[in-house]
Amino acid sequence: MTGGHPLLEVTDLRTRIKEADVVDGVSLTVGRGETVGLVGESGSGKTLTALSVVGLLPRAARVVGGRVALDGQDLLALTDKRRRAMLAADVGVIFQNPTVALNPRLTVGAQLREALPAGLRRDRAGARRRVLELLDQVGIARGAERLTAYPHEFSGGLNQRIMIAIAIARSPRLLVADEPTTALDVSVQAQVLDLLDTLRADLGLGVLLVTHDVGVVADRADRVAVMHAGRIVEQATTAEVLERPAHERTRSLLANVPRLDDPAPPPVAAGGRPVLEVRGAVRQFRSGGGAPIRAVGGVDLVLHPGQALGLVGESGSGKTTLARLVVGLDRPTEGTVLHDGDDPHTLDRAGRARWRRRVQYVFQDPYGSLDPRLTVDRIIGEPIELSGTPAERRARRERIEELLAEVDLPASFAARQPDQLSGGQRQRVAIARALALDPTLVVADEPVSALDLSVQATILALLRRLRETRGLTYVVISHDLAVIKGLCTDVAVMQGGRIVERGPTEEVLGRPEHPYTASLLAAVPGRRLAGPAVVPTSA
Amino acid sequence: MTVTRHEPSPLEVGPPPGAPARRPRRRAPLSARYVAGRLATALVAVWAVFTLVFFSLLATGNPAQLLVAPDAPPGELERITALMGFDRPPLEQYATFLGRVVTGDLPDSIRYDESPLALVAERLPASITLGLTGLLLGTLLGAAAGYLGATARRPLLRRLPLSLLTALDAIPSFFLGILLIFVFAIVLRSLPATGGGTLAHLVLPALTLAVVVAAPVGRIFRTALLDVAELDHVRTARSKGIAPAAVTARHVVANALPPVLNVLGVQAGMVLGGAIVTEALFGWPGLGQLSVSALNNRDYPLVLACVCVIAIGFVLVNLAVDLLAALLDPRNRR
Repeated sequence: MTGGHPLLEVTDLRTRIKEADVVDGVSLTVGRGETVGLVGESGSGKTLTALSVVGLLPRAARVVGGRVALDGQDLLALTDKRRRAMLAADVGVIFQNPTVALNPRLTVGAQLREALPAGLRRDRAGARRRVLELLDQVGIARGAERLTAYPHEFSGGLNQRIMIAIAIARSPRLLVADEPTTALDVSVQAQVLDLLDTLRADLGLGVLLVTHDVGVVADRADRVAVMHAGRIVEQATTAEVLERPAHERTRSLLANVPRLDDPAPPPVAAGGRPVLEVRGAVRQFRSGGGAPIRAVGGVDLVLHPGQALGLVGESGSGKTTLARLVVGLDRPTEGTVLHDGDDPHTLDRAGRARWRRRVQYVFQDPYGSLDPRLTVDRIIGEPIELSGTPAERRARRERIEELLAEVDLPASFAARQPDQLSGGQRQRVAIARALALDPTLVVADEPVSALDLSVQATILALLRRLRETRGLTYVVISHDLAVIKGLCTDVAVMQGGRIVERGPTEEVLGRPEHPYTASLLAAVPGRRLAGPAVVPTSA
Repeated sequence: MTVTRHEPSPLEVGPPPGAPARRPRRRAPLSARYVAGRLATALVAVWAVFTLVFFSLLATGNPAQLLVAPDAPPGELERITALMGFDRPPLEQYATFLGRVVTGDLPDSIRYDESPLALVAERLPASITLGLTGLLLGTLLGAAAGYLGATARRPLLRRLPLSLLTALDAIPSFFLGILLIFVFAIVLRSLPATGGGTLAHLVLPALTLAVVVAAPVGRIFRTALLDVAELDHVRTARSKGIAPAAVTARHVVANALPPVLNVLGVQAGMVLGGAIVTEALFGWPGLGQLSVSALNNRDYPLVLACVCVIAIGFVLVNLAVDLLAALLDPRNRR
């Protein structure tokens, strides 16, 4: 029966939303025990291809042509019921964000049981045995105690393991993973990818790995298919694609990956009065009944004009809490945060108004941080209206044109609303808004992590240029060490609310002294992208 | 019981095969701390209502003026005022009032010369019967219309029931009630127009109340169903290959209930307090009618008792809603 057919064979697949073919004639194969990476930017159709294969398309989309053959059997030719049965038996699916991909109302045990084959589901003792076996397989210890827990009580990594257990519960032959590690920290990402590799080898699974992360594909996939505008533009072994990319899209995709071996901006000598001084800052949060949580536990920082400090660390390490203290959105429980020598929380009204102009924040998500009802003109002009001098308010129009030009947007964009802009254009607007009152310090929380690689590269170039032309001082938070490397003169590594290592970027990322820094560097995917230069020398 | 957070160690391995598996602990569905917290909040809410009612009554002037005949001899007003304690400092009156509320020893009704609580207790069952019937009927109607509105294939079936309910809801209760009386009692002569006591008497007032409940319940249920159906975890459930009906029941409908419950809490309060018009219209012998006549007669002790009982009912309903919501969604248990 398994004859000469590959495990999954997709031929000329077409999926349509309204009148547009969002998947436009895709053909690819996945063999047994093979990992095939499907990469592309957002909107390239990679996720819709995967969802078409597993029959889980959103309501608006429908498959209009082609063949999806599992072991030679065309799924699209079957009745709905038979197709569902075959997919359920042979294909496991893993989704992007594990925390929302599980039902918040049901216990983990109930959701696992539901994924078992129908026959086993009815046998209580047998179902329980199988569920514990699955938890064991995905590396969750003390499985029996965790069956009665709910997803919100677990970390993202643990939830993704549960998702994987659900996907392999019916002993599938094919695993379709749609951005399985995008929402996870690098070290957790590495563990989850290791787990997928182990399962593939042990169970002989075929894996279709959909991701925007070229580094992940470079490390994990046997073959790569590159998608652009609904089509596969290049398909070859991973080594071939990385070393001799044939298509222009592949080349630009590879060129835009921020790399750890790119040079960091040179250190800036400490001179003049510090822009920012954090002394012994502690921020505690009260928790329900238990001991207070120390999100930031005694941090000292001095930042001089022109320096750019990268804050790195895993989620929960206190990066964002520290950033909120730095911009004065929050007050430290102990210690002080001084801007140009002033504590913003003790300033009088006029002093606070002046201080507010000096410090600005750029948020992670350009989709959520701009008011959708306002025009770009209003968004950028708002700080000028609220905190500008009368002269600035009179020159508002010209100022907005200047700012738009500075972030490389045409002046005509002033009339647009956020939903008429792409993600990169929105982030440019957010940056222009932050610059409207000529601040000295800009704090950017994951400024590019919501953006496609090609857009990421242009925004990073813009941020670099602005630092040089305006002499800005930056605090940049990012989970992506390569982004920090390209943007920051200095790095501070946070773990458990403390800074465990700090220094010039080249030194800290090149020769890490603290074991935590080394482990962060070791977990960064994409080792095969650029040869040994990426591997930190002493990690 | 507090929830323990399981943090995985970086490279965790399962227990060795053959290690005895421990039975999972049975968890209480709600923690004692959560229930106690909700109860405390409810008590504070009731106290706040009593205080508000007391001071608003105080602000409307000296009630003794209403008790004294216009042609009474001079000094009579002062005598009654002192007799009833209205000349004491407000805080002292407040303390006396709170004490009386706690012991249930309210002053007698001015008109009926009876304990107002006894009068309220006598009317309460009729009101609860009407309220619950209206609420139940409205919930069923609304849920059905909302479900159809979210899932029916035919556009007509999807739109008609909800539009009909919304249109009925837009008619004020007193007018809708009159319409119902006109159609069923006068033209068809199938149901009695006013009065209480039999099941037939219950139908028209309950329907009038049900419409008020059904329209918002239907709208919210429809929106919640459509929202939940788009969520990622529903896609996960579909990927498990279980029957579509099971996905809908377990993952869509069950997860769409919390917002409906919140609306029901508000609507239950409306039905409790807002049944006044309906009760008056249909001559239903309940709390609403009693409150109206007490207000007309300026029977302050009785008004106080009615308002307080309605307020307690409102707080109790919302307590039940909170506890149910926590049962439905574990993330609400804090």
